[in-house]
Amino acid sequence: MGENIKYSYMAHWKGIPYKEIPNFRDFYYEDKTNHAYYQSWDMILDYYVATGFDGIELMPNVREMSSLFGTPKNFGDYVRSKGVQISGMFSGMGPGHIRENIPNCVANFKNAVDLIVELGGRHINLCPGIDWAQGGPLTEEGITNTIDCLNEMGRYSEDHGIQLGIHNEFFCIMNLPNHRRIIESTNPKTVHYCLDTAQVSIMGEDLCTFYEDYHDRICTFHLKDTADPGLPDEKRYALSNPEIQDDGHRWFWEPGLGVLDFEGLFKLLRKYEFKGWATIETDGTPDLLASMAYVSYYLHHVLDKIYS
Amino acid sequence: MKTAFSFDTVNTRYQEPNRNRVESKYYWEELIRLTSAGGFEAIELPFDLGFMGARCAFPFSQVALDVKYGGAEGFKSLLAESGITKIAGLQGTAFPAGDADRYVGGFRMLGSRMLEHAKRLGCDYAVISASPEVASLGGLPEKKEELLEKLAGALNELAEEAGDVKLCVRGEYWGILRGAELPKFMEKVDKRVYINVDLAHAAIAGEDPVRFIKACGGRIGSVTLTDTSFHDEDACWKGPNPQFPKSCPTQVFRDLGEGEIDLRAVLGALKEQGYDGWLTVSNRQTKDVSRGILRARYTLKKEA
Repeated sequence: MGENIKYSYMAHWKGIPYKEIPNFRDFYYEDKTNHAYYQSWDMILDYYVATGFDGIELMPNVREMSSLFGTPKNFGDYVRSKGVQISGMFSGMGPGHIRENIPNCVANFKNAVDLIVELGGRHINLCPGIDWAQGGPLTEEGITNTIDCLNEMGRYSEDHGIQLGIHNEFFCIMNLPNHRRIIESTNPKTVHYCLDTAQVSIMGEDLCTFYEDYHDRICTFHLKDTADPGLPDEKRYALSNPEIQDDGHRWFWEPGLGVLDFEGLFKLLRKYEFKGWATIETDGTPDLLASMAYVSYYLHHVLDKIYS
Repeated sequence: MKTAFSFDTVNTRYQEPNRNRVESKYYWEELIRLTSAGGFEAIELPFDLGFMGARCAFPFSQVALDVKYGGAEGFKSLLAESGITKIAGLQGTAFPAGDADRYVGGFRMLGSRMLEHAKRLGCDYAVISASPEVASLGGLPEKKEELLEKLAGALNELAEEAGDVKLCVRGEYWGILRGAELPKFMEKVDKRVYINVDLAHAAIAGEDPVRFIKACGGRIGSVTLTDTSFHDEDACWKGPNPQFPKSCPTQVFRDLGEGEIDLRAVLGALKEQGYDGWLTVSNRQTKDVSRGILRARYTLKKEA
C-alpha cells in the first residue's frame, strides 16, 4: 500500500459457497483439481493479502452472504479480520431516465447504500442507466431525469457517509454525446465519478484528457486496460448487449496488457495528488489468481515508481 | 435406451473462477460439439425466465435463443450441425420466494412458460421442481398440507396445458417432497403429470434408488442419472444452501460413475417397470465439463 493510493480488487469470483473448508485436504482429494482453491472466502481473501491488495470491491449477493455469515455486517467483519478492507460495491441506477421510475430507482439505491454502510465500505459505484440498446439515445427529458435521479441519490449517499461515483460504461444509455454534460450538471458536492479507465476509453474519451478535465470529481477508479479505445458507435450501441462478445473477444485486459497510457495517468495522479481507493478489474480473464499476481507486479513495480 | 446429456453441467453460479467464458456464445457452440463427441445425440436444457436477458448466451431462455441463436429453430439447426438431433426435455426451478403463496404463484407461471418453451423446442418432457428449499420457507411451513394442496392444484392446471409434453415433478432432497414423499403426493395429482426420478436426490433423502423406482411405478416420466457419495448425516437439507453442506464441505453431486449409485441395478429396475423414456445424464456440480461428458459416456458403456 502506498501513502496515497489504496488498491482494491473487484470480486469477479463466481459464487463462493463456503466460508471456510476445514476438511480441505479431503475436499481436494474428491476430484484432485484446482477447484477446491476457489471455494471459500477464507482462501480467496488470503490471496488478496498475498498479492498486496488492501481491499475488495463487492458485487454483493445478499442471499449467499446471509447463508454463510448471517448478516452483511458479519461478512464485513470477517473480511476485515482477514486483513482486507471493503472499499465499496458496484450497483446500477436502473431506468432513472424515465421520470416515473425515479422513486423506485432511488429506493433501490437507498437499499444498496444501507447495505454498503452495514458492510463497512466507502464507495458505491453506479452504472448510470440501462443499456443504450434498450432505450437510447437519451432525449432532453431523459437527460434531465437522469440528472435529477443522480442528484437525489447523491444526497442520500452523502448523508450516510458514502461516495456515489458515476461509473459510465461504453454501452450505457448515458454515452459520448451527453455524459460530460450530465457530469457537469450534477451536484459536484454529492455526485462524484468513478473513472473506469477502459470503459471511458472504449466510449471514445482520451483517458488522460478526461482525468485532467474531471480530476476534482473523480473519487475512485476502476483500473483496467483495453485494446479497443474509441469503439465505433455501431458496436457500442448494438442491439445484442456488446459487453460479452459471441466470439470471446475481450474488451478488458489487465492494466499493462492493453494500449492505455497508465503511466501518463499516474503522472496526473501525482500532479493532482490523488488520495483514495483504486479498484483493479480483470473482467474476462480465464484465471483470476494469475491476473491478481500479474497486476500486483505491474502496480508495485511499474506504476508505484510514478506515484503510490 | 435413449440417453441425453443435460446442459445443467454448466453451473452458472458456482463453476470456475470466471464468468465471461460461459456467457459467450462460442463456449456453448463448443459444448455442443463436445457433447456430440461424447456420443450423445440429445440434450436437456435448463429453463429460466430470461432474467439475464441478452447479456449472455446461456441457451436457457426464449430471449437468449432469440437474441443469440436465431430463435428456437436457429438453435436446433446449430445442434443438428454437430449431430445433436433432439432436445429431450427441459428442467426448471421456481424461485424460493420466501413464503408459500408467492412460491406457488411463481411455480405456476414457471411451469406454464416452460411448457410453452418445451413445445416450441419439440421436447418430450419438462421437469419442474416440487418445492423450494425448506430453509427458504423458514423451515417446514406450518401449513404444509395447505401448501401441498395448492401445489397439486397448480400441477392439475398445468396438466391441461402439457399436451404431448410429459410434465414431470422432481423431489429434491432439500424440499418438502423429498424421497418417498413425492410418490405419495403424486397420488393426489392428475395422472397426466409424471414423476422425475433423480437418483442422487432420492439417495440423499434416504431412499434406495431401486426401491424408489418401484414405488413410483408407472408414473415415471423421465429419469435423471445423477451420482453421489453424500450421506446427509447432519441434516444439511434443512439449512440454507444445502447443496453446499457447511458442516463438511463436499461435492454433493458427483459426475456420473464417480459416486456410489449402483447404475446397473437402477437400469434393471427401470426395465422391470417397463420404462422406455429418456435417461438424462446430469453432472450438475462437475468440476470439469469436458471430463464429465467422457466420464458419463464411459460409465454408460460399462453399466448399460
